[in-house]
Amino acid sequence: MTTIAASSRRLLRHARREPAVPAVYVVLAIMVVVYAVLDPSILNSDRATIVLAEKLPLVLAAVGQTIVFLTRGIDLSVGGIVTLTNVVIATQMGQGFGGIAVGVAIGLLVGIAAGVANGCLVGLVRLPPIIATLATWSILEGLALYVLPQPGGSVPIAFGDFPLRTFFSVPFPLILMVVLPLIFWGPVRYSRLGHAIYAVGSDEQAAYMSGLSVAFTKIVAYAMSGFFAALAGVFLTMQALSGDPRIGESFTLDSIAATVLGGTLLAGGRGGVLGPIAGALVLGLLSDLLFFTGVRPDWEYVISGAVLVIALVVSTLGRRISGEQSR
Amino acid sequence: MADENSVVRLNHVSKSFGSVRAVHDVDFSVDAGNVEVLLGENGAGKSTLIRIMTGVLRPDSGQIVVAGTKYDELTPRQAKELGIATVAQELSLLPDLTVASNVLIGREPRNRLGLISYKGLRRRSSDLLSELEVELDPEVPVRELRFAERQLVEVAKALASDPRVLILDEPTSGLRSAEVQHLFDVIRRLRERDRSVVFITHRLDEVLEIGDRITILKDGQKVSQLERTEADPDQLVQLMVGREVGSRFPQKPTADERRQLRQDAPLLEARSFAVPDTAVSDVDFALWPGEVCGLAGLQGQGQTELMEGLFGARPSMGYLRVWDAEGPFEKPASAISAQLALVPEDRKSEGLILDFLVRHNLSLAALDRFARATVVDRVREESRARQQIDALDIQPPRTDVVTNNLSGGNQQKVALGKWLMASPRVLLLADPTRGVDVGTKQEMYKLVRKLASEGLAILYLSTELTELVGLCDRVLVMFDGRIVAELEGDEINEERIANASVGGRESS
Amino acid sequence: MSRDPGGAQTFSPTRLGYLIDTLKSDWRTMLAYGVALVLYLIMVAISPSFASLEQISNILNLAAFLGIVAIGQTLVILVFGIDLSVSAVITLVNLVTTAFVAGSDARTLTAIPLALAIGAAVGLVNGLGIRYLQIPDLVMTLASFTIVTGVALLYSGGAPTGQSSRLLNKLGAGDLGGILPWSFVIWAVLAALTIFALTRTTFGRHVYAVGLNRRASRFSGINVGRTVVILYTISGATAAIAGLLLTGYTGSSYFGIGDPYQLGSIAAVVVGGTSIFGGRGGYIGTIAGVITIVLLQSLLTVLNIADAGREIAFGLVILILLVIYGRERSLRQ
Repeated sequence: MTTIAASSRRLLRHARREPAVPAVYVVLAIMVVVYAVLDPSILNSDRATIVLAEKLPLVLAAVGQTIVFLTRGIDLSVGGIVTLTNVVIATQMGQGFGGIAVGVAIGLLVGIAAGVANGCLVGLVRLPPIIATLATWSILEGLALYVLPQPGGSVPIAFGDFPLRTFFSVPFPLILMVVLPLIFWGPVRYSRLGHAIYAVGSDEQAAYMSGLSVAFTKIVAYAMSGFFAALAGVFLTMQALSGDPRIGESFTLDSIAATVLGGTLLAGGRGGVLGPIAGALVLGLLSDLLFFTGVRPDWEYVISGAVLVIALVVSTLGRRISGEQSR
Repeated sequence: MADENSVVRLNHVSKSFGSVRAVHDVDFSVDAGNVEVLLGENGAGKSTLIRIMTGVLRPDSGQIVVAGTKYDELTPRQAKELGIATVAQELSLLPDLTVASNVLIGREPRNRLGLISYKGLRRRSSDLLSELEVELDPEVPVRELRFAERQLVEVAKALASDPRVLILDEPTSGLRSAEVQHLFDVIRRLRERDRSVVFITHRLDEVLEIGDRITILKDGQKVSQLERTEADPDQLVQLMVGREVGSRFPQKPTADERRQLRQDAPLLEARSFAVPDTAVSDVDFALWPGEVCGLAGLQGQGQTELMEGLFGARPSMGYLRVWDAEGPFEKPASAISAQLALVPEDRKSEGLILDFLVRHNLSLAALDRFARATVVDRVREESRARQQIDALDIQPPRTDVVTNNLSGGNQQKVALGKWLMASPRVLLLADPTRGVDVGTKQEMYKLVRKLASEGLAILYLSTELTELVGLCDRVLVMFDGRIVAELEGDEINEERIANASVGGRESS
Repeated sequence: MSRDPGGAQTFSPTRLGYLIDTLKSDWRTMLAYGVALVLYLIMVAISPSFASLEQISNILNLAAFLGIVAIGQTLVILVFGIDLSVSAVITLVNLVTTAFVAGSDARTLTAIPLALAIGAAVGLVNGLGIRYLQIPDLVMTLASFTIVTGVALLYSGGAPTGQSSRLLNKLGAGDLGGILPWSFVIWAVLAALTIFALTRTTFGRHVYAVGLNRRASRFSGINVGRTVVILYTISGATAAIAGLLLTGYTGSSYFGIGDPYQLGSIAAVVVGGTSIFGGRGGYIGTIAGVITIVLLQSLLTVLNIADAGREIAFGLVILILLVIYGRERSLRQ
């Protein structure tokens, strides 16, 4: 019995248990094909780079949201963190490499701080995540308005150019979509802390009785969400090249949609970031596709909402067919 | 007294929940290399005592002494660090994680990078499982396992921490005798290594086989402590119960009286009855008015699922007739209209709404009877509630107390009373005396017999052999979702039921 | 009278005693009213004009809109659900109403059932999706928020048209006898109905049962699914009513008119003492929560705090109140 055979069997079994992940990748593949048909210029790696750089922030925000979902929580403040990071960077970033580095560092720190605050409210004070993060969302938006009441600020062009490159014809943003979650979530996922995150989401009481520190685990989860949201804000700023106190508004709902599309449910304890990465791309490409097919932009909302519902229905049916869920 | 040998000691420990005194001034010591048995009836306080020892509960007073150090209370983390591992009745497994992850949660083996070594995880968990001689795929998520398999995973998990004290709370309820023996082998090996085991049970045969020292609890207090060599079964029962065994159950009808009852048509008939997605299939049986019919078998053989299927709480198929209504029922509301009632197994999560006042719980299943045009007639509700409280002797006799504050036994009475308000003809009782004190148990037995004599047909699910033998006119034994035996009248005895429960034939 | 050692709740036998005990056990509601009162006193101290009848009337008018939306939100939260689509319903109703009514009183009479139908339809879809497709309430109402917002966008083409009628303006901004706003009267009637339904009917009992323990409710013969669907439908309908009255108040329509009512309605419910987990609380508390929120918003406006400060203050106040009485159960006993 070779280990390759054993590993591939394990992989297949895992895929069968979480059917949503391969499903969303199939959908993504179809969308990419349709996209290429409608706009063959996308196959040009420079053009693809620009498009992917646009979608990168949501991918990162979705990864962070997923981590919180794993603990059976939710982070409604994602949009606020993205916005705050953006305005902070736009107002604080200096010139030259040093200035850029400091600006990014401050932005990320802001995100982590917000995440830790969320985590403490949920994990230590034990407030319900929905309301706690809804309240912090409000506070963060307010802080952003305080820092930058009107759109403005600026960042060096060199900063904005950062993601716009390719390596051996592979768009850099695509690499980042894989590498950033890998570096920052990977080590956690495969550590005791990662198992603790899944455990807390699976059954908080049992996790507690098993001796895990539920509070600390939740703080880490929300801190990571804050970090990834800040990262999203950093890359969003590279795109926008300026600050806007309303820039992150859609990220909260979109990151939730991307997470759900990716097969990670609110129930916690199951899922991973692979699905939501594709989910975010699906959402991101959807609006482009609608534009190409000549659908009026007004329809975008309706369709993305409908897509969400359909995806949910499909995953529910899928689970029922695979025998897991009875009525 | 070997205090120097004492690994864990509880001194003068007490714990109350609201007005209920679960444990009162109990001293309990666990010595090295000993198998300490905690024996007592349901509701005697055994689980509460254990939960104090493992840090899940805070004692109201008293101390916990571990290896010489005194503590006023422990947290689960502390208890684990001090070498106390437990397998509780409510399993602490994480349903979405694999068997391997569960067994080694919090102590997963790591590689040089500090990340989890999955190879090591698989290997170590397999080793632990094979010690228990369990054949399980460590990669399976725990939610896919049966109850007995989960119990064993929980034991492996407790062993993973190489504990000084292993606490097992009713660990054999779902296990077959071979599995029980494997567990006992593990216990014996622990004893050889000078580790201690606390074994909680109410099964005397297990006590006498594996125990070294026996501590008996009754109504929250320690009534006796003896070495196994000093103990004999009758004496133990007497100490547990406080009275002669024989007088515990109300009188059963004679064989003639039973035959008389069979003259009428059965109130419930089931044929080829099955509950999809469970093991329950091909069930044929009938219930006659006036009889108490037992439903027996090891835990997790489909008894609960059968009852839930009959009641419409689970989808079911086949032929079902209750009085003059035809099932199967799609939802409980339909069953209730057909005058079928189920008092569920878990009163806390299924039978009652603990945050409701007693009178609101009592009226819940029959609310329409108290309402005119959906407006509730509170006066009538109140008076009917009082009647029910009187009839069942619920303590405290108040309609306006929050149900959660009642003792387990009284809560169960409220659960029963709620269903009686719906005037059922067929009553399904799922383990009604679980977690109920001795006194209330007696009351329930009398009540059940009285209801039967008033013409109800009662199906009585229980895993306690003495109860089935003492109370039931007929016993159906289930194994793997099917009814494998039907015993009547004099045929009913513990040995026969136990045999049938493991799918065995009658012993020669 | 039995003696209850160990702290079981004992209820006094006298009527007055019973009332006091009930209030004591409902301390969150009491606290909510207390907070509202303190807030009002602070406002009067800062700006004495707040004690004037005119200002009170204005506050009651504003409170009515939030209060009506909060009826649906309270019901939904009581069964451990949430409705994130209310702001979209309000906006849609607002846009459709102005376009449809176009200043005509006659058409207003048709507009009212039309708006109710829209709101109820959205609520019904929410409920059905949650019940039959087993989509979590958060995601379902989020999805319908997106779709309804999209429909509103489509319908108005980005440019709101039409205007409100005189009848609607009277309902939304006019008052009875110069003091009591019509909106408030409507709110009062709906509030009374809601409170009656929750406390005195079988349906109300079912709502609390489902919120506390779905499984046990099902075993008791309660049709949990139907209850949930009805509640979400009501939530959509109340959002629609609020949308109608708001249209009358503002006289026109604009995109985003419903936005403040999303967080506002949830906040009002929680601040009023209803548990986010369901089963505990009720509309009486929400009323206090609504008044608190409206007073808070007015206070921030009076203090001339910029948008930024307002959002921060809002979030902070909610957090503080949550810490006082919105915590989850601790893991240990």
